[in-house]
Amino acid sequence: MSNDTKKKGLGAELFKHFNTGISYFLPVIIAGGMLFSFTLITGTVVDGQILPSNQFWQNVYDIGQAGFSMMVPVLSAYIAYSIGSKPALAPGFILGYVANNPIGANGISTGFLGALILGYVVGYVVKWIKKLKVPQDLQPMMPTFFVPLCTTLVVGIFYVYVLTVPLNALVQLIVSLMYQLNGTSAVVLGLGIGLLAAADFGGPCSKAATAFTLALMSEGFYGPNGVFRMCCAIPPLGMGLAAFLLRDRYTKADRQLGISALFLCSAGITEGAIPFAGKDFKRTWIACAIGTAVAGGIGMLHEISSVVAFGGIVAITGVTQGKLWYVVDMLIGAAVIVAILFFAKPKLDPAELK
Amino acid sequence: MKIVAVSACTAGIAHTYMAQEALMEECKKRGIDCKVETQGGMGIDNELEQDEIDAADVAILAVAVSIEMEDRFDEKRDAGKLIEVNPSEAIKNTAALIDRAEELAK
Repeated sequence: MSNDTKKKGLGAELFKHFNTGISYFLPVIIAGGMLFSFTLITGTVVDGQILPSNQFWQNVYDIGQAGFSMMVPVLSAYIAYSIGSKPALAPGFILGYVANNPIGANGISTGFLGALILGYVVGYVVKWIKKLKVPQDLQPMMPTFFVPLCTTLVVGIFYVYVLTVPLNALVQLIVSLMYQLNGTSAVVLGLGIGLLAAADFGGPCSKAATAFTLALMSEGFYGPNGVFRMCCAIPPLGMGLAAFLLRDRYTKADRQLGISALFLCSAGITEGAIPFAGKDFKRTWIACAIGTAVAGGIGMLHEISSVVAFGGIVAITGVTQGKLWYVVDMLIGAAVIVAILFFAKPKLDPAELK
Repeated sequence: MKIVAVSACTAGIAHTYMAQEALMEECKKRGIDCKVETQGGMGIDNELEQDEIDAADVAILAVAVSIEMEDRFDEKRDAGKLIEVNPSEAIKNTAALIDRAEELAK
């Protein structure tokens, strides 16, 4: 209790803003992601893509897809809102969308991680601008005109020319490392793919793995793609199962998140594990990284191959080799996650379990 | 004595309302007048008016996220009559929290 009376540190403040973003982001990922995965369960494979089976499901898919593409912008918008209040909302939305889509000469998208960083930058920039002394006549122009316009432009340009450089370098580095691993052993490559799939829950590391496996696919190697697409589903699967199986370590609310995580797992949406990572980053991350890497390693041994650029259980229709292993290895990965959390996560106070 | 509080957790499903219940119960036991606003998944419920906050001896924010209209509590914060804790802290150590509030109200 005594800790709470002290002045809150920067870490606690950053974490609170992150939590605020997550609280708005959750309903979006659930509505969008679940509709998205529903429709794909009934889908068929056409030319390496999964298509909904008829026009009705196509419509539901499009609605889900819209929600899915809102997810990352909502996160950055409400992190920004939490810091800079109302004027930060518009630049937060716009730049979150920017982070989630390819931009710049190299067409870089940084997804979840980029949006997270942008949310903080926008928030603090707006907070700083609000403190500036401006002439009385200009005051009414500030909140709806000057602040959103300038913040969006300045931070946006800063993102494209400065922030994407290290993130892109990281992606390139990972891709070239993966190419080197490709020459060594299949198991090591699988471990690497699994680690990347879980490393940032849908951020630049996952994007690097996507780029690498797609490139190999165009060269006719479908194994790494199959393993990667399986790995995408493991963090949400493992966390969903953990919430249900470890009843004295997760609350009722966690189990509700668990249901949505299981749905998101079926569509290979790694982001489904983010709410759990938000609550307990260290343990969630370590468990997911190890579990997914293990599954990646054994997945390569089992020569799982897939011809679709889509993950999760719904993508099993695109798995050309090792269909059974695709499911079994996925469950093994999830089991490792649950086991690690069983040992690492302390039991909750009975008052919280009610 | 009068306490006002706001509870809000990340998902806004369980802890928000559990914290509200815990605070209400503990205050009832001690005969303290208490009102708890919740900012959960359904938005703001049991909203606190500014004059209710002004009339309270102590304000408690049992929050894990940034809340709406936090500026209502600026005066309480400046006067040192504001306690900020995690919602789970308010659920687990309710008695200790209210002890602290009573100490502050003196």
